[in-house]
Amino acid sequence: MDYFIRIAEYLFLIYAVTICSSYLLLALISYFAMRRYMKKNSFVDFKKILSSPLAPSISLIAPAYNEAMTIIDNVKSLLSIEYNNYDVVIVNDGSADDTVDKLIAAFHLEKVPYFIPSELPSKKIRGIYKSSNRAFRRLVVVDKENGGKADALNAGISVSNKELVACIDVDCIIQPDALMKMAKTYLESRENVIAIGGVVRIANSCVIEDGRLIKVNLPKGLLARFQVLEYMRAFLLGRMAWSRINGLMLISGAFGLFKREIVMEVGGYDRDTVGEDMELVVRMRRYMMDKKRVGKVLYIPDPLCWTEAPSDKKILSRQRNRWARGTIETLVKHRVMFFNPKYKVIGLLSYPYWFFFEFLAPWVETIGLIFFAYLTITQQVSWVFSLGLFSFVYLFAVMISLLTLLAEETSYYKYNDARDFYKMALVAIMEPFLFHPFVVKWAIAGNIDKWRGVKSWGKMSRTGFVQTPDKKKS
Amino acid sequence: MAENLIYALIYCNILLLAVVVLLFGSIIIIRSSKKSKFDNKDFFLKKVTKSLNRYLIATTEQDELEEVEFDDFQLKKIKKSLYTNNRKDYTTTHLLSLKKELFGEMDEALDHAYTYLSLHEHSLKKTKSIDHSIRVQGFQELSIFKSKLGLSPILKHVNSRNLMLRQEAQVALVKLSTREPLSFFRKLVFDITDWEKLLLYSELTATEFKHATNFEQYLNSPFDGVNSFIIRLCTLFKKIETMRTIRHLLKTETSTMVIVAGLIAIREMGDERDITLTKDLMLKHDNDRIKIEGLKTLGSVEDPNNLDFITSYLEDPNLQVQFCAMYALNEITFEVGHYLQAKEAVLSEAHDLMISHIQNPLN
Repeated sequence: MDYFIRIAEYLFLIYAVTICSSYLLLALISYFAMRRYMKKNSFVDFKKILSSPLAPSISLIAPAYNEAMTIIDNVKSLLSIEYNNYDVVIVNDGSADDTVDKLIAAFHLEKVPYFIPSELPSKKIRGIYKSSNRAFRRLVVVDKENGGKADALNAGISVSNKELVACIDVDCIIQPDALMKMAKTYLESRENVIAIGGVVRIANSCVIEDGRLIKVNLPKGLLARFQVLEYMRAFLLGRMAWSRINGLMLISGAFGLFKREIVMEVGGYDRDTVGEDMELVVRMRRYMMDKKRVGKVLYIPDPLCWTEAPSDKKILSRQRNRWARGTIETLVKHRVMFFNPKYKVIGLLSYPYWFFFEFLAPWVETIGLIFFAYLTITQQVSWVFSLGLFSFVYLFAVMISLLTLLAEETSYYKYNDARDFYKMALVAIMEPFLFHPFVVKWAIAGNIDKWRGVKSWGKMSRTGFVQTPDKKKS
Repeated sequence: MAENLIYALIYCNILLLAVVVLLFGSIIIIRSSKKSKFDNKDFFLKKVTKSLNRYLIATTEQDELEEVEFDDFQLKKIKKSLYTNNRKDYTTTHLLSLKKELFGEMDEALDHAYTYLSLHEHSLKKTKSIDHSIRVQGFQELSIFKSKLGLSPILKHVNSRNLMLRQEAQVALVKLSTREPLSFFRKLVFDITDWEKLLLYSELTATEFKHATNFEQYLNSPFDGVNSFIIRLCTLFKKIETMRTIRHLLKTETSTMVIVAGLIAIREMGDERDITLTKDLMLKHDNDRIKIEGLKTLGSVEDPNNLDFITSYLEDPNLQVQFCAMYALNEITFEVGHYLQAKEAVLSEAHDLMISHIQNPLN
């Protein structure tokens, strides 16, 4: 028995060391890739794109479901983005409220006959509206029957006639220069770029005016602060590295740019998954490799999109549960890529990483804790070894979080108040005890729900952004 | 074995703890250094700005009829204080920011100041730096202050494998070699990217020599990207005299990218002679992009003789091509529905929707 216990201890140790090494390696690759990106772009005058007839055309596609309260401000914000050759396609996904009526009234919309040359699968489109006011000529509103986010995005992509489509969440704050930065990355690659992702940041407690971010503040609640650190770590020290080695499998659903032609070829978003953002990227990559065509997925570390993070535990748990289910669905659907050399970095590195360190990690952690509890009860625990392993993992987690803060300090420096840094350092120290166990619990619940056949998104409600005093009065 | 492992774990923990403390400390140091660096810079720049303002005022206050003489007394004062590379950098950056806002005599005065303060030598040194971003700074400074000394060190980088170096070297050369801004095209060993095209177009738009430049001499490039870009430039700058060469090129061209650029050129600058060429290209290449551009071009010509040819594309398997054909027909006849009825063409529901779409003013 003692022999098996020792073997199990070694296995946990090997798993912990492997996962930590991979995090460290990714963090280092990301750090240098980010520095390189920033140096490269420090000389770029992005405004040159604005006046150029050679800039690619882009459609911003934003599905809206029961967004009557905020839709007008959100659309105005999207219409004021700094880019010349673009339009905004708002897809009303069968809202039960008066989202469409509000849009019609505010933007002088009229129903127009509209020919769509090629359509992605989606629920029936009831009508397409355009504005009779020249000021809103960029706006297209698609009214369709309810079918979910992926369905709405498919309808939007079908209606778009631009070279690139940027799929976004309508309630996100998009940085005014986001499209210019994306377009630059798209244009400068020698190889065929099929998708580009950008950093999504948390906007809780930030000051927003007319749909524009005025001041970046650290969220007030601890739960949102944990997510700030988590997002920074994932976006700054994770995805940048995967993009650098051409192994990126996920572009956030909040803001991603895709080559329309390829999205049409692969059949658009999968309407049967709750992780449609990851699934589309994986399918596009798989399709390109199957066809022996080059298809790069790039990523830029600039904060391009600000979103409201759940500040309520219940809502956060639903979100994480859905993320876990989405991951499983994508991994199962594309299991043929697992350690398949045909899919190069994706098959040999990215997919196995997601399988072992994203999907399996919550299970390994839970089993490890149960195992430790069993050893404690049966008085077989090696305290020196166990405490050594715990402190190793804990210190490593704190180190990675501090590396993230260092990357932030030396790059975008968004939280420039000294007190914010100390608060974030404290969050980094507390996170492994106060936040991570819940993340593991919600991921396990997501796994269980997946096997039970749960398919719903779960109700997500938002509290709204902080508005400037003038805006509040109005 | 087990004991060794435990010792290894303990050592790892100590190491990690040290790294954590080190990271924490370095962030605090970075924060404080950012502040002090700005303080020193601000103090020095205040002095430079004062002297530069006096120098610029003295230059502009001269009689307009006389040749401009630069007041070098103030510059001497600045030159004395430029004993570190940092100070040279701050001064160059400051001059660059002034250059963006000032024109005419002031602009010349700034060029003179740059040379007088020997900042061009500092910029030339930068072009040899190991750090690519510093090299790029050097390119930019030399080209903005029109220092011809920069030409040969910059030219070496037009084929650099490093994207940033290559782009900035190309842009700097356009700024510096005003008579033949694209002469480096002859030295290219690989094709230019779309971003490089955008940057070059932007620089060319700003230069006053764009209309005097003979772009067509670069149309024999082995790279499709270069050829299509040159055709686009000829189109955007309305160089009608280049149409002969473009026509000649299109007759033998096989690249979709170049043919599409050529069809756009025909649309913008062509004449009746080009209708046959357009039709030939559409028939020769079974490519949707070529068909679409060709149909747009034929639509813009508004010649009723093309109606039958365009109508035949209403049966193309690609709906987008059909849509463009309908659009082109509408451009020529205005009453496309009546025309097709008169022709007894079989119209589908999709065709009716296309007509409604095209004829709706909001679309």
